[in-house]
Order: sequence, then C-alpha cells, then structure tokens
Amino acid sequence: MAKLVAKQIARGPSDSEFLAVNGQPGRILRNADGTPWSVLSVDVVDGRIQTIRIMRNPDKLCHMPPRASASSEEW
Amino acid sequence: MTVALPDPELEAVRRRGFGVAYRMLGTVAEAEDVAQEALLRLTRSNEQIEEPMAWITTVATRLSIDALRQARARRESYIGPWLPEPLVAGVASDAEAQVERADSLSQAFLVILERLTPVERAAFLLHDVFDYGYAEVARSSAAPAPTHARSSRAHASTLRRAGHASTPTPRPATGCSSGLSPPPRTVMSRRWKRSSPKTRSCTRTAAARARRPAGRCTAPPVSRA
Repeated sequence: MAKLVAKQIARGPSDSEFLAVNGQPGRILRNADGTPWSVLSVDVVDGRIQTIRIMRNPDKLCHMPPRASASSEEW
Repeated sequence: MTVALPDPELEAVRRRGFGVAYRMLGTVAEAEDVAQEALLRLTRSNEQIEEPMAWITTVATRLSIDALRQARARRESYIGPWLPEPLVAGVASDAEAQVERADSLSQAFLVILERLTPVERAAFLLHDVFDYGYAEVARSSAAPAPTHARSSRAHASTLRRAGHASTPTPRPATGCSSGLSPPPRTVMSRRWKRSSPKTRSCTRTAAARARRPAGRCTAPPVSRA
C-alpha cells in the first residue's frame, strides 16, 4: 500500500501551465505523458479569491488534448 | 429547402449552439454532441429558417433539456458536489472565442445553475445570458411563459446573492464548497450552541449544581444517623 502511494506521488504532475479556466484564472497540471493531472481554477470576485476548485476526475478532463499546442483547429 | 450558410457563419452558429449546451449541461462532450446535432438539423431542415442563430439556440436548448433529464439520475448519484468540466482557453482551440460571454461561464455560475430544474435553467440562461424576452423563452424551451417569468425572477436574485456577476458577496461562513448560500446564521448559531461542548458542560454543571444541594442535604442526616 505504501509502495502504491509512493508510486502515485512519484508519478505526480510533471508540467504545469497557467491558463484561463472558464474565463477565470487557472492552472493545469499534466502528467509526464502530457495527459491532464488536475485543473485548478480560481473564482475571483472584486479582485479577491472567493473559491478555489480543483478538478481531478479524469472523466471530466479527458476532453482536453494532451498539450495546448496539440489542439487542432477543426476541434 | 436546406440551409446553406457560408463557413464563418456556420461556425458562429455552431459556437452559439455549443455555448448554450455547455451552460446547460456543464460537460464538453455532451455539449459538442448537442451542438453537432443541432447544426445537423439546421443544415438538413426543410423549413425556411430566417434566423439560424435563434433557431440553433432554441434547438440546442431543447436538446439540452432532454439530455439533462436523462442525466439526472447520473448526477444525483455523483459522489461529492457536481462540478462542470473545466473549459480551458487555448486548449480546446480557442475556447473563449467559441463560447461567447465568458463572464457567464465561470464555474461558480455553472455550479449554481445546477440547483435549477432543466427548464428553469434554460429559462434563466436564455433570459439573463442570451437576452431573450419571456415570450421567446417560452417558445424556445417549450413551457408556459409564467413558469419562466417566475423561475427567472425568483432565481435571479438567489443566483446574484450567491455570487454571480458583479455583485460582491460575503464569503460563506459555513464553507459551502458548492457555492450554495449558507443557511441563515441565526439558525446555525442556535444549532451550534445547542451542540457545542461548552454549553453542554454548562448545562451539566448547572444540573449537577441543582442536584448537589439536595444530595448534601440528604447525605449529612444519613451520616449523622
């Protein structure tokens, strides 16, 4: 079990990128293979952070292409 | 007659369909499906369509209502608060350009929309985000106008209070992660007081104090006797 956890941690995100998530500031973390690890988004109201959301459900991240540069125009 | 639109216009129409569907459903894949289906129906329609933009808004709304009704069970059994799929600009090929009016796209807004029924959600979006009149809203989402008027008005204030748009909102004291408005503070504090250990210990000592004199009164005579 400890090995599994250690492996998960070791496997963690290797790449991060700041982007607009749903029109608000956010950050995407990616695995070494380029697949999304988590998407963090911040709700800013009147210049202050109101909520921080982190989406880690892989089913909800699978629509993202591995890398920003990999997005195709035809979509 | 089939509708033949030049490519840029068709793209704009599809983008509108996606924008409506994404705000309705909160998922990218389903919104794409809805937008695609609506676009197909538009291009294959036998009727004379004068305003493709309005037409696709209506069709995408209705398809989204159907999809939401089907997805209800799935969302109700979802573990934890249901959050929309994040839409990342620059990843899904210029998502911000695809989905107009980015201010109504924020996750907080979409999370709050989850509280509405599918038809109410449609009514609210069409009226408040896409600037449709009540009569048009009623036509688009196939429900009587009073429903929309009522739901829109009732929810508009709720939604604004809960942190939508430019209204400044106090930070929820109860830490509701779903962005729902916290229960009235008086009720909360009353509940808290009732259950807090301090009050409980106070009542216990009060009860003990009440009991103690009686005990002392009865105990000495026993020892004396």
